[in-house]
Amino acid sequence: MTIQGTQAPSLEVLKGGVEATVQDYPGRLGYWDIGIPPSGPLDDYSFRLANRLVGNRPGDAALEVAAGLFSMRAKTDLVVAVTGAEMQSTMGGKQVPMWESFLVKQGEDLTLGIAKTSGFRAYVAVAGGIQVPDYLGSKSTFAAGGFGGFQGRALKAGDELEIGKSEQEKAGLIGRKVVENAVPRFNQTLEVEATVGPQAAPEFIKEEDLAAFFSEVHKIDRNANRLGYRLTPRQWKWARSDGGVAGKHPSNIIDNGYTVGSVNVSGDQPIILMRDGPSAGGFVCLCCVVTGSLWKVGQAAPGRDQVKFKKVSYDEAIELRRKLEKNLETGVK
Amino acid sequence: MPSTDVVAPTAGLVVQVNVTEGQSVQAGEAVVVVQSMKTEISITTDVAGKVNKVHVKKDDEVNIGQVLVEIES
Repeated sequence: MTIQGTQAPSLEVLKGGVEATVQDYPGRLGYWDIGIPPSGPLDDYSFRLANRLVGNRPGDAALEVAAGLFSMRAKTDLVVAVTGAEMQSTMGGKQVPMWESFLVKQGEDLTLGIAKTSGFRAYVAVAGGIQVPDYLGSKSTFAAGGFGGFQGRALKAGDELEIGKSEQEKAGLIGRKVVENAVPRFNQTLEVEATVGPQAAPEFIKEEDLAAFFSEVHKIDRNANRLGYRLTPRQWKWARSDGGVAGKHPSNIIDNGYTVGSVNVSGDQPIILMRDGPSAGGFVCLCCVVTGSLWKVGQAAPGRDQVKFKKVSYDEAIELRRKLEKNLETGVK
Repeated sequence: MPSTDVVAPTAGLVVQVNVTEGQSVQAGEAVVVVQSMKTEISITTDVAGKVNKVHVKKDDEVNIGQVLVEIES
C-alpha cells in the first residue's frame, strides 16, 4: 500500500452538520472556580476508544459529531476511526466500519448520516490528532463561551483542520478493532448510576420522593444539550415550604458549587449538568451521575430517549470508573 | 426521477418552513429550520431539484429520522 501526501496532513469540512466540534479529554481543567467548564467529549468512553484505535493518546483532540450530517474530505491520506452512535458512515457511497480504524485516501470523503435508532454522538479520531491551538491548556471547544477548539465554534463547511504527525506508521494503524465486549450498546432507555446528594432527603425533599425519583423513567427534553440534559419536569414533595433567604421556591438554596454530572432541580425540572455546564448556582442538586457513567448520558438523544437513575455508593462509583478505564486499556486490538 | 428525503437529524420543533411544493431548490439550501438543543438548526438539502412534498408545518414536533421534505431531482 502506498501512502501519499507530502503536504501537511489535514482535512476539510464539507458539511458541519448539526453540531460537530473539536474536543479533547479531560478538557479544560483548573478553571472551574472561575466558571470555566471542562468541556470535552460528552461520551468520553467512545471518544477515547476512537483515539486508541488510531494510535493516539486517549485524550488527543478528535471530533464530536452530535446528531450527524457531518462530512469531511481527506486532504492527505489519513487513518481514521469512527465510534459512538451508529450514523451509517460512508465513503464514496460504501459503508465504512465502526469501532475499527481505516484509511481515508487523499481526496476521499467520509460522510456521516444520522443516529436513527440509538445513541446521539459519533466520534471521529484521526491518527496524529486534530491540531488547533491550546486555549487555557485544552483544545476543547466551548461554543457557548466562544473559545477553544476551531475558532471557538462548531465546525462548518470550508473549515480546514490540521492533523498532527502520528508517531506510528500508517500501515500498522489500519484495521485495529475494539473488542466485542468493550463496544458499548446504546439503548433508548438508559440506566445511569448516581450517588445521592449533596442536597437530598430528608433536608430538601421527602424520602419517599427520593425513592420515587430513582424508580421513575425520565424523558429527555428536546432542549438537552452540552450544557445540561433537561428532563421532563415532575411534581416534587419538597421538605421545605420555600427556599428561605435563597428564594421563594423550595428548590432554591444559597448559591453553591456544582459538579459535572450533578442532577440539578431548577423549579420542578431536573437537569443533568454536562461538560459545558455552570460551575455554581442556587438550586438543589439531588444526586450526581458518577464519572464512570456520565458518558452514557452523552449518547441519549434529546426528545427521543429516556433515563433511569440507579443509586450507587461511593465505592461502587469508584469501581465503575475502574472498570471503564480497564475496558479502555484492554478494549483495542 | 429519483426522490430524496430530507430528514430531521434530531427531535425538535419546526420553527420555519422555507419551501413550498412545486418550487425548485439548490443543493445546500436550508429547507426547514428545527429548534432543538436550545438552538435553531437549519436543515439543508444535499440535492438540487423540485420540492415534491412538504410533510411538516410550523410548530410541528418532529422525531429523529422523520421525513420533512421530499425532493425530486
